[in-house]
Amino acid sequence: MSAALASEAWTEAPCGLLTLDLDGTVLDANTTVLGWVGRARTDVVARLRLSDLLSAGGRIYWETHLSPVLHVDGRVDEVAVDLQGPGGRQPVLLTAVVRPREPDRAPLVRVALASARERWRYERDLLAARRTAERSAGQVQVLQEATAALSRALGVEGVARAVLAATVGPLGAAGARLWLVGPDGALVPSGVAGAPPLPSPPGAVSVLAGGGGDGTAVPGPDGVLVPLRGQASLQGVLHLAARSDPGADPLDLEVLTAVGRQTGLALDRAHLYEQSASVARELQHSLLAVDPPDDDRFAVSTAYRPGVAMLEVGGDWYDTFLAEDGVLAVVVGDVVGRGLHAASAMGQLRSAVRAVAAPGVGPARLLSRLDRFVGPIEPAQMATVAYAEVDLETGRVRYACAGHPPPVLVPLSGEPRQLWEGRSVPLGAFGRVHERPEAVLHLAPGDRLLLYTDGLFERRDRALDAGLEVLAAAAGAARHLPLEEHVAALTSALLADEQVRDDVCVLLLGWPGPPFDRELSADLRELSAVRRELGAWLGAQGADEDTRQDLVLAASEATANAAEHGSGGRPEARVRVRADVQDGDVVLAVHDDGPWRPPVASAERGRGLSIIRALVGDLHVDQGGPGRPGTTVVVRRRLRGGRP
Amino acid sequence: MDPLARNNVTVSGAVGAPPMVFAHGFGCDQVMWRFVAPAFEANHRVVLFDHVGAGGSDASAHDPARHGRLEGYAQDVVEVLEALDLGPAVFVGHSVSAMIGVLAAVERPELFSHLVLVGPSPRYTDAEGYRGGFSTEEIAELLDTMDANYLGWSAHIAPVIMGVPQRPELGQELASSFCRTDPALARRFARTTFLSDNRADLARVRTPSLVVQCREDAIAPLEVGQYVRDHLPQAEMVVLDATGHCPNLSAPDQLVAAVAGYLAPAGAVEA
Repeated sequence: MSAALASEAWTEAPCGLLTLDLDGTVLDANTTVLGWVGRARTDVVARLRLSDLLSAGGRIYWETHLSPVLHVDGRVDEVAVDLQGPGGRQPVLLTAVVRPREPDRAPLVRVALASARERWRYERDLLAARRTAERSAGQVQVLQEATAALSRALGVEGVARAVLAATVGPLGAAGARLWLVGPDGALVPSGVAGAPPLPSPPGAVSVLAGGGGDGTAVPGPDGVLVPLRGQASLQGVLHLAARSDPGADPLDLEVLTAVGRQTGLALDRAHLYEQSASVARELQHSLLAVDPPDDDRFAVSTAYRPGVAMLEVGGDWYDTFLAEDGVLAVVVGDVVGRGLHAASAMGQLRSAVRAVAAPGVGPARLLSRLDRFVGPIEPAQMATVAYAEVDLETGRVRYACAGHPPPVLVPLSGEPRQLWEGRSVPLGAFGRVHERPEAVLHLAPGDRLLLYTDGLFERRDRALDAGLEVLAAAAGAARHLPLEEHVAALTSALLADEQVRDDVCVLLLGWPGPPFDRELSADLRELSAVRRELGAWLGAQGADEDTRQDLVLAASEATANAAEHGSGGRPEARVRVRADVQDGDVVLAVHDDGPWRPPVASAERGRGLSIIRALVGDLHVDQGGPGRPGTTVVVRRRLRGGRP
Repeated sequence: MDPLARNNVTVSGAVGAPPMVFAHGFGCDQVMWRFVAPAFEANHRVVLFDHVGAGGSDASAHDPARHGRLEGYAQDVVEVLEALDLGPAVFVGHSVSAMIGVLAAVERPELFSHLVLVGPSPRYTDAEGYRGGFSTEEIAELLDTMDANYLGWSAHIAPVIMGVPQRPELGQELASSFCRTDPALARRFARTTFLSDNRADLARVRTPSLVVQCREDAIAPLEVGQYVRDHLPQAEMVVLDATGHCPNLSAPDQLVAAVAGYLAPAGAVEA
C-alpha cells in the first residue's frame, strides 16, 4: 500500500483514530474523531489531551484508572466512554495501545474509537436488568435478616428491640425512632437506635397513624417514615434517619415498606402472646396465693420467680395443707411446658393432690393415684412432684418424689443432706406405675425441709450434681436466718447470675418441735439441765441469741423464786416450766403450787420479779383461784429482736 | 483482623530507617508507585498497601458504614501504622489518599513526620465560593461510566480469554490484575471519594506538608492545590512540569526529585 493510500485510509477510516503521547496529548486525529467532537484539527492537535474530549465521567475514569493502566499494562481494551460533541455525546468503545519507538524517543499511544451508539442502547438495557437483579438480591437478603430477627423476638419489647437493631444493621440507617400505639390509641415513644432523627412534628407521624398512608414507607422530615401496620390496625411508626456519609447507600423505601409490614404483624403476634401470658400469670398467681394453714406448730416460707427473659409462666407450684389432723402435707411440683396450658394443668394437678390426700393414704399411694389422674390430661403427663407429710407432734416425715429433684434436709446443726430415697418416675410416665416407694425421716426441733423446682439450680453450663451441691451449700450457709430471710438468701444466691430461663418455686418448712415442758423438784438440782434444755429449745424455735439468754435467765429467776417461796419448804413440791410459741412470741410459764405472796411481803421475791420484768418487759402473774391452786409467772417475748 | 493482611501491606527498603508510606488513589492500587517507591528504599523503610476493595486487599473487610466515609480509610491507615510500629512516617498520598492522610494525621499526629500530598483535593464538587472542578451530575455520570465498564473493572480473566497481544515489558500476571477491583466496592469508593468535603480538616493538620501538583490536571486543578497549601498551617508546594493526574506514572523522576528535595533539609540523606 502506498503512503498516499495509507494516509487516506487513516483519514477516512470509518472509525476514530488518534495518536497520543504518553501523557495523553493528541498528536494526530482523523476526520472521524474531529467530526464527532466538532472541532478543527488545529484546535485539537498538540493543544488538547484525550481526556479533554471525553464527558466528565469519562474524563475522571481516564485520569484515575485508564491512564494508569495504559502506563503499566501498555494497553486498554474495549472501554465504553462518551466523546463530548456539539450534537451531544458520542458513545464509543475505546482501545489504546502503547507503541515503543526508537530508544531516544518517547513512546506513542495509538487509539481506535468505534461508534457504540446502537450497541450502547442494547447494553443500557442489559445494565438496567443487571442492576435490578443485583438490587433485588440485596433486598431479599436484607429482608431475610430483618425477618429472622423479628421472628426470634419475644413480646412487644422484644419486637421493638429487634426492629430498632435492624435499622442500624441491615437496613443501613444512621438511627431510628420508634413509636408504638398505646392502649388509648395514641403513639407513644418506644425507643431509639443509633443517631435517631429529630423527633418528628406530631402531624407527620399522626398522618400515618390516622390511616392516611397506604402502608408504604414515605420520605419524611429528616429521613423516612415507615408505618407498622398489623392485620387490623396500625401498631406503630418507625422513623429512620439516613446516613450522611458520602459513600452510604440511600434508604430503600421498598425494603422499608416490607419490613414495616413484617414488624406490624410481629407486633400483632406479640400482643396476642402477651395477653395469653398475662392470663396465665394471673391464673398461676391466684393458684399460688392460697395461705398455708394457720398453726404455730410449723412455719412455711415460699417464693415464686417467673423465668427471666421469658414472659410465659411455667407450670411450677407449691402447696401446703393439713392431710389430716396434726399431719401437714407440703408439695412442690412442676408441669411440663409453659403458658396457659401449663398453668391450667398445674391448677388441676394441684387440686388433685389435695383431693387424693387423706388419712391413711401416705405419699407413695398418693403419687400412684395421681398417675391415674394425669392419664387423660396431656399437659400434666410427665409432671414431677415432691410430696411430704410431716407429723407436727413428732417430726416424723414420710416423703416421696415422682421424678422431682431431691428435697434437702437443712438440720439446725450439721450439714444439709439431699434426700435421695423414695424416688420414682414422673407422673404418667410409662403408663401406670403400680408401686411407688416412699421414705421416712425424723426432724429434730429446728430442722428445716427444703422443696424446690429445677429452675433453682439447673444451669446450661453446669452439671446437675454440681448444681445440687451449690444448692445444698447455699441452703446450709443461711440456715441460722429466720425462715423468710433464709428463702430470700437462698434464691438471691442461686438466681443472682440471671442466666435462669425457667421459673422457680421454693418451699421451706421449719419444724420447731413440740412445746417445752419440764418439772423439777424444789431443791433445784435439775435447774442447770433445764436451763440448757430451754436454751436448745429456744434455738430450735429460731429465737435470737439475746432472746435466748434473756428468757433462760428469766426462767431461772422465776424457777428460783417458785422453789424458794412457792414450795413453802415442802420437799415434794414441784416447779413446772413450760414454753411455747404463739404468733411469733415465746410464752414462758413457771408454775408452783404455793399461794401467791405479794412482793412487799418478801423483798427477795420482789427483786426476782423486777429482774424478770427488766429482761422481758411483758410479765404477768396468775395468782390462781378456786380450783386453780398455785401461782404462775407468765412472760412473753418476741422470738427475735424483742429486747425491751 | 490483621491490618497488614487486610491492606496487603508490603515492606521493603532499609531496615531501621525512617518509614515512608505510599498510599494509592481512587481507581488504582499500590502498583502505581512502582516507578517512585524504589527511589526511596536506600534511606527509608518503604511501606506499600492497597485500600480495602482495591488490589490485593481483603475485600471481605469492606464495611459499608466504615468505608462510606474517608475517616474509615484513615482508620485503616492508622491501624496499619500501629501494627508496623516503625515510628513516625513520611506519608505520601496520591489523589484521594492525600485527604485520607490528612484525616489520619489529624487523628494521630504522633504517627506522622511529614505529609506529601500528590494531586490533593479536599472537595471535588463545586460549592459556593469554591471551585472543585465538577458538578454533582458529573460525578453521577462517572458512576454510569464505571457501570458501563463493569467488565473492565472486574474481569480478571478477560485479557487471558481475549488473548493478550505482545507486551514484552510486562509480566502476564501484573497485566491481568493491575487496578482490577470489585465493581460494587469501586462504586462506593467513587462516591466516598468524590462526594466528601474535607476542607475544614486542613486547618487541623499539625504535620509539615508538601503539596505536589501537575501543571495541568483535569481532576485536581492547580487552584485546588493552591487552596490546599493555603489552608494547611505548615505547607510548601511544588508544581511539576507535567500533565495529567498521575505524575507517579507519567513523571516519576520529577516527583521523586520534588519529594527528595523536600525531605532532604529535614536531615535525612535522600536518594
